[in-house]
Amino acid sequence: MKKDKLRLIIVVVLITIIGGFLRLYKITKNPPSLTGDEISFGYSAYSVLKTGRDEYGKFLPLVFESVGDYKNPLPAYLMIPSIKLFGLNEFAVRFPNALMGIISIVIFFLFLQDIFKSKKIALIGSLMLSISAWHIFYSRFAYETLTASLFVLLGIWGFIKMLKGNTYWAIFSAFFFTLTMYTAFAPRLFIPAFILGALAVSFPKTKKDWKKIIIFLTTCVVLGLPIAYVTFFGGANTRLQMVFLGNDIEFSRHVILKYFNSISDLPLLFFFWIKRYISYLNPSFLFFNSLDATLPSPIGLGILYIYEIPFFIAGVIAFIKNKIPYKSIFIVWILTGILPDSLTNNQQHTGRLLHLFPVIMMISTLGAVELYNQFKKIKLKWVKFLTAFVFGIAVIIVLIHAFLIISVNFPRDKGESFDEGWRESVQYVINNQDKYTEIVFDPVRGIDGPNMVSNPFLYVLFYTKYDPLTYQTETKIFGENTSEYYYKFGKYTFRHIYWPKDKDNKGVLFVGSPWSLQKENLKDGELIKEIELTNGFSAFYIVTPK
Amino acid sequence: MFPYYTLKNLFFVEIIGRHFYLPNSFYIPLALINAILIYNLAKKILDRKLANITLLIIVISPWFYYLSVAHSFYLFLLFPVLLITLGLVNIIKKEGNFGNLFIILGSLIAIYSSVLFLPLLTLIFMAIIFLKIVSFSNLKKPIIIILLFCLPLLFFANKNKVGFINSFKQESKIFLDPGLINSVNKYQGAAEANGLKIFSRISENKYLFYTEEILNKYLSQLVPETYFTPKYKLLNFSFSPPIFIGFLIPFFYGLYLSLKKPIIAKVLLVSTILTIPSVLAKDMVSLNRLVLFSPVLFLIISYGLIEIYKNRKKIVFRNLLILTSILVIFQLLVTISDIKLRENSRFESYFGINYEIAEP
Repeated sequence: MKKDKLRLIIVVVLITIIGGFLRLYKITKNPPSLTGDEISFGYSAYSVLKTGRDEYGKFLPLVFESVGDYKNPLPAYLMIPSIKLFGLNEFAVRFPNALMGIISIVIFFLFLQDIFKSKKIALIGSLMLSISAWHIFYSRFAYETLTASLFVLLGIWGFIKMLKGNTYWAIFSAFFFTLTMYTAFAPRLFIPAFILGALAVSFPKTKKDWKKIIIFLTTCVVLGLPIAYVTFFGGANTRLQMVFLGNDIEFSRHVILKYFNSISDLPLLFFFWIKRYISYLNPSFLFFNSLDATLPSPIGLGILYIYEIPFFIAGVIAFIKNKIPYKSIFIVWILTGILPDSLTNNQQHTGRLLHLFPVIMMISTLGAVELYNQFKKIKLKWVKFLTAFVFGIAVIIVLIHAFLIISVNFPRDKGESFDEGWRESVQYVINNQDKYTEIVFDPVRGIDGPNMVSNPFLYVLFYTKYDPLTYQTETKIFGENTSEYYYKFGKYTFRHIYWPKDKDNKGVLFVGSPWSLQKENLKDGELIKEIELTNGFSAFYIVTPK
Repeated sequence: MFPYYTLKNLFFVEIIGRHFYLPNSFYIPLALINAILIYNLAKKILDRKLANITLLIIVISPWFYYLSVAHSFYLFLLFPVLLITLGLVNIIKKEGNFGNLFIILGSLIAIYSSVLFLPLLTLIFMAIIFLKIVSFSNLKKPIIIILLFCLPLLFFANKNKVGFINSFKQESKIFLDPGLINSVNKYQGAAEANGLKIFSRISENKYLFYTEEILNKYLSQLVPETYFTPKYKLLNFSFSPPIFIGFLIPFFYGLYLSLKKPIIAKVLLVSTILTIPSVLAKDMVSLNRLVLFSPVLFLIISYGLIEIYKNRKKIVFRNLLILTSILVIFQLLVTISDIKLRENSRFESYFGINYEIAEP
């Protein structure tokens, strides 16, 4: 028994090490740059670490204003110990989320073992999670929904244990459910819907033990009140309005042929929402090209690998046919899990569905185990060998393709959307800024056109390790009208560059995209440095008038 | 019949508003005949008394209407497919004397109408025999007669090779999409630049990509989103779904009951061959070509609905029946209103405001 347990621990540790390696290896190089969100979280965490306040001077905020998109608090607070330990850099920003991804492998193993009482299912499930491209992709940068997905798993596991166990699990479950809501936006709709649904389906079990439910709900309300307040009455409400399904472009342009502003459009919105809801069963989304790791292409990566198609189908059949513990809870999990993303005005997004990873992986695992049991029953040795051989080759080919997508194509295709180029530009500025009276950054960028607006001031704050207390208290200058992008603090100005006028500003360093600073308009020696993206296109020119 | 014509007019007139002329006098009765054939199949396979449910489902589903207005060639091809199916059912149930005749007639009409149907029907008959749905001895006679009547086709094909190849290319556009080859080149180029050329050649070559594309397309033909939502717009512009979403409930129940019976599961597996024309289309899903698969859906929905209706005394089934009815009626009213208000604008937006349909 002891030997078996030791062997099991060794296997779990090995699986976790594999998962850890895939999530941490070259984490600061791939993705190629910190996104605006990561930088914002990082600097906010740094500011709280140093002063107890965010960059706007708010003391231990419940929501971070950032660039007006009111970010969730927990990802920033989780970065504080990491920044304290490693300093303000890319690794410190990404490490907490990667760690959550690695911990998820172990928690998922324990979860499956507890539910199914089967080491085989638990080991296969945790192995599938450790090499899951979906999970690895979102573990490699600071994506709050991945952290939230771990809390969802813990919350639901605690909920299940509460149904059969003691009251402590009620508090455990409520704690992690509310923690989820401080971590990401999608769970704020998912958690209440899940709790309602789960309580409804487990009512026969819980009606005798109503005290546990009262404790559970009370804990949820008490811990969740602050975040509920900021969601409905604080700035976080802005984000809700921005992303609501009624503002979807396809709905406005193709369905109602106008903007959504009338109750009479509600029936069509309802059917449009159903269309969006059911689209999560689309094979392209599940297996072929939904992971946002490359430019739109017929073939890419989905939530699950292609070789998991038979696993998923067999898993669904096994899930329906077999007696699965707490089946109704899992059904509620799936049905309510799709709800938040289906109500947004964007196409399906794999990142916003991460809180479903346990149940999707569980179904795939059940199918894998079922098919493995059928495989063992094959009597003809040559058929058995051929099946294993063909399947093995398919797995290897798919994993090689996944490796190439994430390590080669992703940095090339998505560098720009990860704001690649700002780090190198700001680092050049840091090394040379004493030579200039002013540094001007143009926020507009883009390869195909000047169609992206980024926030270079965040990169300046982060890479210069700008003193948070100075930033909170110093005078900042904004543009006179809201349509004009103008922001200035210290030596740094953030505005659109207009070279016919700016070329006369000697002693000023300009950082802008080729759309603002066209090479043919520059004199010899004015172009000091060209910053390139991984795909070879120019991101920025660093220029000073001569 | 009255509701059919009333609804037909609502959809038909509002969408195009054209005058009634000869092709309409062919396609509209054709859609009606197809509906009646599916109804007959339902009477034989499901429940004689409640088979009207099948007709009701077809009559209130927009699918046939849109395709008959657009004079869909595949609506015509559905007719011989249904004849063949009726013939096979007659043989299996040993009912009637026309089993072989329906199979022969249906097969010949299909083969002489579409180049694709020669390999398609071959596949279907092989699958039926291999899975022991119908024994080879029962199909020997009609197969021999079909082969004999196909001999002139070989002669014509030989004389008009280019014509036949063009015909086949028209029906099979899956390999015309340049996006896949562009993806292959892009991925291989990127891998080569990083010194990983050999890995890319193994896992990112055009053969594998085409295989994945075919698999993706095949699976896309079999998901509920395709049939119960306007994801793949009817005639490329409509917001009307092929089948109303309310029927999803009896569809799932009917599918569950069907898969419990091995023989029906085998029949369903064989029926997926009818999605091949859509798989071979250029788009991910072609609702025009998928109409060949529509009888399978209507029959599964009918099966589910009939069983729910039969068990309506149990509270769960009663609630399901009420929910289905509410959803279907609600969506029917919303769709009719939407067609009156916006379908013409969507049509103009897709085809252009000056689009004219030629009059004879």
